[in-house]
Amino acid sequence: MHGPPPPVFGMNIGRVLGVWVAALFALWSLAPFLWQVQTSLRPDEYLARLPPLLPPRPTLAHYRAVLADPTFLRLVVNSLGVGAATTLASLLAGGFAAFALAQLPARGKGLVLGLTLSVSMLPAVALLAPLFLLVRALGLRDSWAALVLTHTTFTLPLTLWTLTHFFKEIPRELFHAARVDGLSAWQTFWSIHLPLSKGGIAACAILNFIFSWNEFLMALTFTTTDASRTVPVGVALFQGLHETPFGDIAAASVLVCLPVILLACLFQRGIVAGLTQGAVKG
Amino acid sequence: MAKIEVRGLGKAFARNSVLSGLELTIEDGEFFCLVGPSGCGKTTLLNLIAGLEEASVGEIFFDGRPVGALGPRERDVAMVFQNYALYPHKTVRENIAFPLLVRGLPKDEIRSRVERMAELMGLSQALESRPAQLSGGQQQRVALGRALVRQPRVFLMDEPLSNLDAKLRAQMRMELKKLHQDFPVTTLYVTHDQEEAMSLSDRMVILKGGAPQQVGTPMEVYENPANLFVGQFIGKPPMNTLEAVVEGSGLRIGSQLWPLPDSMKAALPSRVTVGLRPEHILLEAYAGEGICGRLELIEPMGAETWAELSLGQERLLCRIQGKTGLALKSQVRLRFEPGAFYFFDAQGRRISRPAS
Amino acid sequence: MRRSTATLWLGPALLLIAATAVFPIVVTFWMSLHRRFPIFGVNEYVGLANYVHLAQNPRFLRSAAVTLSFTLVSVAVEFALGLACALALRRDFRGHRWILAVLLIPWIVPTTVSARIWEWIYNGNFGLLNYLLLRLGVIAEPVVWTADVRLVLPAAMLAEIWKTTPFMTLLLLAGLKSIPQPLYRAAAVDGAGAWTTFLHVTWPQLKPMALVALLFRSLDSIRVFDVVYVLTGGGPAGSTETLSVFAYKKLFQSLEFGYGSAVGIAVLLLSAAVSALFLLCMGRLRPSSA
Repeated sequence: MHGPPPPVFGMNIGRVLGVWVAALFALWSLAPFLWQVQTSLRPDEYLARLPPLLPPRPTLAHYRAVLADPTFLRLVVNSLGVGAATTLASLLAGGFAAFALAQLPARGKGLVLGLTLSVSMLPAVALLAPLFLLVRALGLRDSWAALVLTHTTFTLPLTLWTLTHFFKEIPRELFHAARVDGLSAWQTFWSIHLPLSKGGIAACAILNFIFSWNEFLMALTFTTTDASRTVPVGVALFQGLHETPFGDIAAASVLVCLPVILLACLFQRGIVAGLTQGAVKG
Repeated sequence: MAKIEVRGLGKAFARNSVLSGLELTIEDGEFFCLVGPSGCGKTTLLNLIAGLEEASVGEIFFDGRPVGALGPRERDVAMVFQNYALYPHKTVRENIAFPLLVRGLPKDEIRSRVERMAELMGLSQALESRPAQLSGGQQQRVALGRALVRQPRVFLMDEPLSNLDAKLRAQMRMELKKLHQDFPVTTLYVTHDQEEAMSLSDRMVILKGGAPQQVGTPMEVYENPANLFVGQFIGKPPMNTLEAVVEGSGLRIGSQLWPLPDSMKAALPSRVTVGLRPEHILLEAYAGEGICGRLELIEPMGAETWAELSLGQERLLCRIQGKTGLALKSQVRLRFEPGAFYFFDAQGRRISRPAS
Repeated sequence: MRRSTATLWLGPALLLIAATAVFPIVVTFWMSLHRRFPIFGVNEYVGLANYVHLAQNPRFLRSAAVTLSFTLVSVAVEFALGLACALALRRDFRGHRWILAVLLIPWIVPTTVSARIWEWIYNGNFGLLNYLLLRLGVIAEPVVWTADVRLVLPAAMLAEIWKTTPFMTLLLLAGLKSIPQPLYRAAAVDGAGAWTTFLHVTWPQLKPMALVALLFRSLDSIRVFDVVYVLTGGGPAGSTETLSVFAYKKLFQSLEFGYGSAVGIAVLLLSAAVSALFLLCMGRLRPSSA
């Protein structure tokens, strides 16, 4: 049996305190974001003025401006495309590898898992120059492919670990049964392992997508134009605050947060499970 | 259906030998049990025959054709597993239909075969349920149905009853036996339970440490164990063993001298292990004559009674029909059924009884 | 599964890792032994000269110090906050789910966005922070947080702490939830109070997970780039220039591929040293807890 300590006599104070502390943390987590939301709703004339704390006449003008800007939409499309392709690529490569690892004897498995784990801990900046030369040599500069390739390198380890864990939970007998029923290993992967690991796959998919959606350093290095530039780079490259419409930046940054916040609310359980899985089992 | 031959089969995992030099012939349509304690290699042997693992050396033949290079699909075997291995995300219907679906049978035929099988297994009401909603016995039937629906050449079962409670186990054992009479497919059945092996098999092999100890019908291995291990493994309660020294007129066991005909004595070395089955010992009140023991413990079982005797340092378990009528802690006299004595040498090998 | 088939299944993943991680690391090390300016066509082998130069370069030493203090302070504060938050969240209550979802927000928002958010909050003229501190009377006149060399590093740390505390919280919460409940019953029966229980049950059981969480966050923090690059660009006067920012500028602004690679390798070595330290702690932990 696992879980929180049982309520002990006289512990009600701790319980009430817990709720308040948690609420305080929630407020602290939310406040800066909410501040950005109100900034995005401020009419231009109130942008460079504080007080009032809240805009007296909230406006959607900044959102209209951002959504009408083809550059912004281009960035979002790039980010969505790169994110989706990265997710798919690392699920496929990671899924295949996890399938083999879940069945391999312990020795070879430890080596591969150890290798991938150390990859996930590599500082990206130590890979950047050769990757840059590689991307240029392959003619992939300023393309989605360059980002998908490099993002997958960093999402692959977590995917591999999580899926290996999930696949190992599938009883060996079930794999044997499928083989005896006439399935090839390939068919077993698609019709037994994947459907039975839905939870793990969903968690991996979300985390992979979030990683790619948020990744900055490689996106900054490998992109030069709006053709493949992603949202984080766009947000970072908005010019300094004296010339730029800060209301538009605020509106844009709120907009780009929406997909991931939506994911967080919908799949909060899966994200938490996926995040902690590697640490608990590894 | 197929005759299975195993020739010089060996399997090692990371230099740990699990099986070596195994020779076995299983006749077409036979119900054949692989029995032995855990770790004896019986499941490995089953997996090798299924094609789920690759042999390190040796070959397996189905009807004279080598199958070593074939996967389970090509060997056309069906298998029932200890934990049933039902697909948790599929309904009972989908589980039973699965092997047919994989083989691309027409939809109508799959449907009719699945429904016929479900009826046979008493699962018609449960077809749309998922495995998790079924009882252990029902899950077992689904697993059997999934294996039988295909009419495979060989039927493999890996401890299929060991997760059921005692009552259900006995019931399913009978059903299995009936099923085999209706579908006489060559069946290999792995179990650690000698009673199950005895009741089900046409023939069986007793395995220990990856090596076959004896192959034979249940009565052969019971009546004529090849060695001490088989003698003790088959039969319940297990065979008693006594260390004996052969002396002038008989066997010296503890402080007593057990008389023995000369014809029997001639074949024995100076020290032997005597095997005595509990059911071959008869007890009566001691009247100052014959072999004597003290009645230490009485376990009434209903139809029979188990009694434990002490003879000096030695302990002896006896199985008596009905009640004993003897008093606890009293002295009793031991008598034996004809042919009750099994002799084994220092290595545990059976010393064959001289013709008498 | 046969070995040959296993290789086939592992193929794509191993190939990718080999091509985009293992091979580049080797190349980075190789380049770090060269003086290399691609635009001038310069590429000569110089041995360890780059490293020797690094060891004497005050800019490098300062950025190493910035990185280390950034890591030490933010990870320590995150750990304290994360632990408090995890302890508060370990019991279910109404709205527990929603609080968890809200806590996730800082972590899943793109770092460049969170840097922008904080940049606006730190704004000297109409930032929220100045407004609040002025109203509370903590400061007498507006402070330009990102322009003051004494304040800018703590400001960057705060942005980082806000962003990554949720991760710490979630890992510690998972650790707390995996502590067997009978231990708490035993402690209660033995008459242990809340503090004693924490000290003798919770903390020893949580320690392995705490080390893992600290390791993950330390490694992340050592390679910190986004938040600093967007919030301050490493300035003012290099006061927030972390090793990754320094390496990036050397590589892609002054295009010194050899020298920049040497800085990259330095970050790698620092990460390796920290990992080794943590693994040593964990290794020491194992026999005693087993």
